[in-house]
Amino acid sequence: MPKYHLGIDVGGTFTDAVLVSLDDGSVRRCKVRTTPEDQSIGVLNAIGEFDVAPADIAMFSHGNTVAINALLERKGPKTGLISTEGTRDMLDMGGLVRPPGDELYDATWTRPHLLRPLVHRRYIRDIRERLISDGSVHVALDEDAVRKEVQFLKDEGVESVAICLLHAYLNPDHENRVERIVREIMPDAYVQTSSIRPVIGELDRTFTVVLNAYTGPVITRYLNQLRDRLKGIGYDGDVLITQMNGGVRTIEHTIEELPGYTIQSGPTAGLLGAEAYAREVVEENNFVCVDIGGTSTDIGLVDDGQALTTDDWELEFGIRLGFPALDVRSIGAGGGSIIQLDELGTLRIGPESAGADPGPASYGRGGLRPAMTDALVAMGVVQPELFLDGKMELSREAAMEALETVAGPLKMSPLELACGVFDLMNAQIEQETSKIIFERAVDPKDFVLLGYGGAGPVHAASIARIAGISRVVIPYFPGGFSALGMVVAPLRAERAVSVVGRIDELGPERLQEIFDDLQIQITNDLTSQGLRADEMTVERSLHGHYVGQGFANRIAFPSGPVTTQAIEDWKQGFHAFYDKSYGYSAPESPVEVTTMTVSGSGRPGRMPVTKIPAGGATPDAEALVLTREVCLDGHTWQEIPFYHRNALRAGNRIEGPAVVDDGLSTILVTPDSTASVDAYGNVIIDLR
Amino acid sequence: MDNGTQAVMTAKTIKSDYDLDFVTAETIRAGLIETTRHMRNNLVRSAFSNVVRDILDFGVAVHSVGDEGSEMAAITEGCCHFAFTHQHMTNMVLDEWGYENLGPGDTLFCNDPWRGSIHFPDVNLFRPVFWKDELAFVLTDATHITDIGGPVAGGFNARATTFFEEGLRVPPTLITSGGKPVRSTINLLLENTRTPFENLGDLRALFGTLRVGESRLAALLERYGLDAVKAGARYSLDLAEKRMRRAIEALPDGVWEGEEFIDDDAIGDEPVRLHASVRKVGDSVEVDYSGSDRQPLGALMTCWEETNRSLIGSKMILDPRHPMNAGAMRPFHVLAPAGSVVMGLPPASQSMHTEVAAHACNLMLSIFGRMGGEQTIAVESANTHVHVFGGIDSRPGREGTPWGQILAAGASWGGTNTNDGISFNITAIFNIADNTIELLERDNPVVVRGRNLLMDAAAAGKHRSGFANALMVECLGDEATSSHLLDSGRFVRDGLDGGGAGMTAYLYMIKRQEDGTVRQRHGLVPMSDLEPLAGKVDSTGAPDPEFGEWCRDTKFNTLKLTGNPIKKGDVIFVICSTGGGCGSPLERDPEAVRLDVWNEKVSPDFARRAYGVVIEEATSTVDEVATKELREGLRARESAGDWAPPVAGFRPWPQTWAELERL
Repeated sequence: MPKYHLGIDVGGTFTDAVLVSLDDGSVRRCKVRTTPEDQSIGVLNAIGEFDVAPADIAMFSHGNTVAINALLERKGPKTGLISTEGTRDMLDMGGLVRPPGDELYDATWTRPHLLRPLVHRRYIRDIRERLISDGSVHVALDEDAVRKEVQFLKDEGVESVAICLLHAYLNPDHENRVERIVREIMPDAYVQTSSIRPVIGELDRTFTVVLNAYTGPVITRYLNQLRDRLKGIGYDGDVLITQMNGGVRTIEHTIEELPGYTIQSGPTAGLLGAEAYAREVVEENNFVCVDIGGTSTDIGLVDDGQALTTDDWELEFGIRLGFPALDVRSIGAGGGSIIQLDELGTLRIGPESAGADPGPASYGRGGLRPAMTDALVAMGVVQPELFLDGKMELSREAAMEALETVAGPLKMSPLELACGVFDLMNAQIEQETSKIIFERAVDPKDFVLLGYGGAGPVHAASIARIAGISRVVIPYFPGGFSALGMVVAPLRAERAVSVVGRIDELGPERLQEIFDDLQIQITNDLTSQGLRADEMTVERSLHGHYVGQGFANRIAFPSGPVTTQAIEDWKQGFHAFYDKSYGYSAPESPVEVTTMTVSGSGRPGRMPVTKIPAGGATPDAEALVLTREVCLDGHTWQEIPFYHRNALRAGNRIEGPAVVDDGLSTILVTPDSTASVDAYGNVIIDLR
Repeated sequence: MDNGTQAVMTAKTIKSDYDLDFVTAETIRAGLIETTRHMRNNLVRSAFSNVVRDILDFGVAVHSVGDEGSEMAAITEGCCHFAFTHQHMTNMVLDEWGYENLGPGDTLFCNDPWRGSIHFPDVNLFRPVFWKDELAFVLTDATHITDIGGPVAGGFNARATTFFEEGLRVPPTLITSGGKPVRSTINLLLENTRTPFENLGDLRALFGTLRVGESRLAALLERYGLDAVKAGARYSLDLAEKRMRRAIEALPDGVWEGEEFIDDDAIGDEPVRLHASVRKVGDSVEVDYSGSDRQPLGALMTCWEETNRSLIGSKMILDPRHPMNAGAMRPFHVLAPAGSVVMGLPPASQSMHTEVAAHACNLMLSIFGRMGGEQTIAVESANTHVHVFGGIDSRPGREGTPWGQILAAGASWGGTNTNDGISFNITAIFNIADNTIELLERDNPVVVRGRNLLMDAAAAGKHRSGFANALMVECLGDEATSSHLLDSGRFVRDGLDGGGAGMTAYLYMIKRQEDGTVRQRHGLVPMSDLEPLAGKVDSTGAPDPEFGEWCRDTKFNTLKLTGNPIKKGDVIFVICSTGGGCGSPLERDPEAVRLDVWNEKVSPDFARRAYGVVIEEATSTVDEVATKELREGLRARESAGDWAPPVAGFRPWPQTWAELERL
């Protein structure tokens, strides 16, 4: 009888896994090194750690960093773009605008795609053809020219081709013909067209197609490898891949339909875990989520129990995915980030990471450059004999030697450097959290900082201190928190279709017909992924505005038959929405519908947390594993207690400074704060 | 909170000066900015005209009311210039109306440039926010509406010699009173304009935006109380001021002068001169526009705007990376002589204010850039590069429907001492978006046939200028007109510190082929397919920014066309000027030159002529030996004063399609 739900989150340095028993909700966890050359090896290693028969795994949820790594490092395939004559510079124009904010008056700013292209201008080939706004052909497609340009791309070694032509959302004929030619001349190339999201607006649509063309080959290669390896060990159950909208899709549907929607699957899952925490585990429901991994830090907000979403997820300014996604910001600094001097001689953390191999110098596997982890080892916060439950040996000497290479030129001691970069890293993360807090105009005093990821617990309280946040929550499985988020994520799907017309002219029958059609697609989609119809929640919406306007507002349309009365009620709701949102309504103006959507999802799973035994305010004697000298200010050593988290009981209180070690990560309880353990083993740190 | 913030104020001084802890002060500063961001999003989403929702020609602001008037404590730009003008306009309008004459639910309307508006089509709304019976804040928003009446649709009447020919002038007037709309004002605005439907929609959106801002602000006041929010506003203003003063103080004291020329006023043939001297003492600056030309007969002047919006140029040099508010303008005192091109007197028209603005901003950019600070920036295109098309639709189903549309395309910024200039970037006084082609063509009978860069058009330099967009627009309607906000066709935009000069601007008409094709490659169109309308051309009529003659045998003698008749199948071709390069192009990294050639932005010929870099075309590599030799020769001539970088532009311009196709 299969009896486990497996969740595996691949980060830049470590691969975290959780194994949830479907019988009693108990959770096992493990952490192995990420294998960057092929992340699926690390995934298999993690499964191996659990020592369960693959046939006993009922379900496997998975997030990875394959696509985001390829994008951030611009290490995707050589990608080409076929565009309409006269629009070759569209991506570099980026709609002309400069970002509102710090860059607005800065003449040294450069549009990201111009600075670091996904598609080099040389590989953007504009071809003679033109459709106009009724979908008719204004200038015929010059197939000879297309052949010539495709041959050029082939000769240049292009591996993936995006095709996006003007007005193709109305008439795909030219794109289809170009696609046939590409497949004929470049049979091995990966090809994407506007059909992936056939909506009006050439800039965003082109980026949607390009992002998918750029990540598609990388993701599909990876997922295919993963599927083969899983088959190889005898697992033939479902593999659910976390999507950027906070849902999951099966591996087959991900490969075939929308590989680019997995760009940020790991960080997204962390926010789902935070939502579940707010829903089921802790009384707080406003979180600043800080997920510090080995390579990067991901930041998001959960406001009133809901992860904040963005309609226009951007890779970088102006490079929009075109699909709604959870709002996660990333910075390139994590526990494994290299400490170095830049060309101006100033201290910098990252963006390069020591990774898992060779890893920080203290791992003793040949890493010579100091990483953040080495700084923590030098400070004594990370004790070699406790690291990874003692499974891996750490060398404090190697850490000090590596730190010396940077500290020397700065005329600092390695210890001063270590404490300095610890502060610098906290400040850098705080700058990013305060940016999202600033943009969403929330008061940090209303929020608690949820610190997770392998390195989150050691930095969380220090970041909270400078951010003006007075409480920190460290969940029971900080390293595997994103993996847990994946386990609770529901299957989710959405279909949209462009339907432009006045709602009164469309009428109930046509709306019913389109909704029914979309709903059948959604139902088929989700049932083919294993969801039963009675488990499914379906929502339908009309996107619309007053005639003459441009921005389409998504307003839910109630279930049940579409009648004249239902439309009338929806219109009343539409006017009320305008009045509430925009400060006015124009009831005499006709309402135009632009898009119809139907979305469906399964129920989210329950967060697998279990109560721990209760104890008194003072931890049991066996919880105190060590006392060690620790230096937090670069000069003075003080002896502080190290507790083992597993031996703590609900109700225990610990005065900072202290360290709570949980085998996979290190919680630093800073001076002037008190940690307490709640009923589920979460560590709550209150700052004074 | 970057390092600069911490350097000018500390948590301790914030506590003593504003009675706020640092986090609360920052939270309120963020809250005020967020109020305007929220207003911005509201306006973008709920406006009716594409000028607002696509082109983003608007501004929204929160002003804190004090004993001496109002100060603009937070602003979110659509278009940058509102972030500078609304401080003064709000004070002019409210001083005249009287704060004591405003009650809850009142909203004032005004569009008069002599009271601080930018031009008639920009409508400005002012709404007092009362908190516990005290007038505490004023919220303002402004946007360019589609039409404001007058003889020319859209309000850009380059041939107007008085404002009576420009549109409707509305002094401060109540548009809502005690929460109720004032029907007489609304009727006045709707019945004297060509697009009452869009205008009503935009007025509603502007009004709704103020209401939304009011509720955000009320939430902030509810949470922190009036005193704290006011203190937070003061903190925000003082912070911007202190940062600006610190940057000014770092410069040496002294007086600097500069000048800029505009092609013409669309009526006369003479160029129009802007002149300014800047006197810097300690942490303060005086800008004096004396020496600028008298206001010309044509519609080329501005009223109050250049006393504030030209400071965009100095902000770019001194403190670009901090949110704008009125505090940043406190260190500046600006003199604009009455009757000059920067302080025109009634009844003159300022239809073409944007060209004055672009040049005035560039004047500040170049003067402040020479004052010895760290940042230097070569001048930009100094060009609006915005084009208005309109007419009566004749497409099936839309026959007889009037249409009008503003098309924006990208100009180019100059190179800086650290970076290449930004490509496809509107002049610094704006920050507007281009049109989504698919929406534009759905709503209007036009087809954008090209919006690419023009090969070789970026000014050479160690850091070159950006590229601008060459724009090709085909008319699909039976009859229509085009109007062009275009300049810098007569004088090249100079380079800085040995950098090359940019391309000049042009207007052409393209002859389509019988099958409807427009023959183009790398943004170039063969001369055989072109009819010159205006620009600096050679004997064949082709662009020649370096040696050409201004409007030699061209159809018009100005780029500033208004109501130029076009018909179905006509294709207008606009070439925009580009900014200057910074530093000698012989110092540019050969790899950067190679990349531009590889990406087909720069021709191998221009790489050789302007940069002294020899590219092996077959392998796309730099011929290092030949490059070294060529550069040594050019450097020797450069230091002897015998060589300067060529003006940007493709040469010789292809005469036939066969010639162009070979490239």
